[in-house]
Amino acid sequence: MLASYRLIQFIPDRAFPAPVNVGLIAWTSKETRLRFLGFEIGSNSFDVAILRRAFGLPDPAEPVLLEWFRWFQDIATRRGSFAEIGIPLLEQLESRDYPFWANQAGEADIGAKELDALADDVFRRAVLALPLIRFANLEQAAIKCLAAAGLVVGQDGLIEDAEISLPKTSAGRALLSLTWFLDRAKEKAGFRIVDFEAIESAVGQHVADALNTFEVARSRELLRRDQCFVLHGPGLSDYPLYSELLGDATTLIEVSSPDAANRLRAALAIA
Amino acid sequence: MQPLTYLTRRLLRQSKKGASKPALATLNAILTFDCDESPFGVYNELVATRLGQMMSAPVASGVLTVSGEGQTFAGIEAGSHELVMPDVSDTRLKDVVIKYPSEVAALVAFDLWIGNDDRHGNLKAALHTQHIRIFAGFDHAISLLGFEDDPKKQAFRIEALKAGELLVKFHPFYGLVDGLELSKWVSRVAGISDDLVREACLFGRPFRSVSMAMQSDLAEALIARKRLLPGIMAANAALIVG
Repeated sequence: MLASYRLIQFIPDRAFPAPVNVGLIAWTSKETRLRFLGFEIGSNSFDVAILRRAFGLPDPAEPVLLEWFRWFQDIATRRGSFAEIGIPLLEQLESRDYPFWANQAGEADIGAKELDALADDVFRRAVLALPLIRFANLEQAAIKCLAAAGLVVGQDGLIEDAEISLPKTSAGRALLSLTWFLDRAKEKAGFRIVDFEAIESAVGQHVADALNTFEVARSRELLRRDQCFVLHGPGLSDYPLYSELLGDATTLIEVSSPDAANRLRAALAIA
Repeated sequence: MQPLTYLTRRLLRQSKKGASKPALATLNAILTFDCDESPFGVYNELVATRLGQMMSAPVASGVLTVSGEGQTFAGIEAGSHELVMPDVSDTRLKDVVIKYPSEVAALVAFDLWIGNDDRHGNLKAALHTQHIRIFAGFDHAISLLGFEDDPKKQAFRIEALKAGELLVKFHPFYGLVDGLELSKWVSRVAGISDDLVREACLFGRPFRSVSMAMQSDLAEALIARKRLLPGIMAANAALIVG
């Protein structure tokens, strides 16, 4: 059976069109499937924040992104032949100067019940594997982990993208960049994200940056060791040396693990 | 009516002086040109926008600008934070009517008045976020004077507007619009001052291929048509309201 797909691409800046894959629609003559960044198929829910964060868009952009996701969902769930009804709508996108395109096409010969597998496979390779998208997913998982541990970004002193200027000493000035900084009267904690699925040189750079940041934070008495956290996704086991170095200087939390929030809560309580 | 937001393309320079901190910026716009398929498109767009604003119909704003071929109409692009909204899908029209009953009725009344049967696909509406209200029609290039270049056919069009012919045989909200809401908006159109209609249509000089006589004929046709609008609605209630 012939299956076809179109990649859904987002154009972050229409003045300099450099599309980034964010989803796909795959179909056969009988069925259609949608995969989209932030879309949970099981619960039929859409987390628009991942898409917004991936492209550094402000919060008020979320409603428009949500409209677009629902637009693609409407197309994918229409009755009738997708090739006849859906494709013409997708092809209008580029000509109308919209922020999404869907012109990149592919085909595959699949078995009768393999459309989901094809959609998942292409989505994983063409969308989720992109560094920008992978990092956005990791960041979102970290936010969920923080929330599950009782920390809500932007509330109760949990500052996002915190740039902290430390007092000048004989060692000079220091500007610390933390992904999140918990700054309460008697409670402080710093968080950095490290993506261990990035290319090796990038992982090394992330680790060095995190170690350096927390070293400065500790030496300038901004944070203690037990107040330094590295939030990460899968792949740490591929880097035993980094694991050891980071483990000595910080608390490592794998945000995708089921007990991540409990571990974080416990570590914060001790700190 | 809630105000519509438009896309800012670039914030170029902001003044430090002045209480409102005025800034130079560029907005996104869709340009309409006169062409063989739509010889009066620029005039139609401009006058339709004026008429829409006159009756508070939910239509996107636009301005006259000058491009390579002379005056063009720049329809300002509705959206938010550099992101254009998708057009409303056919499958969501019922949802639109539920969320925007009055706005839909206003748009149907407006389209009936200006003889616009090209609403399909020319509509933006925010449906999926409770507190966000965006609803706007755009593209009126083939309303009003229509698109017939031939003087005889052009005269027929004006006559049809004036005589109260339905003209809008297809509309995405036919059969969905609330009859009571529509009656309110039709009454509002009927009550618009004749002078305001003339001011919207008459430019005091020929405008591109639209002569002063055509402008005047259109104004008088619209004045007659707004009075006939309740009758047009009543005569076609089965089609319009369903």
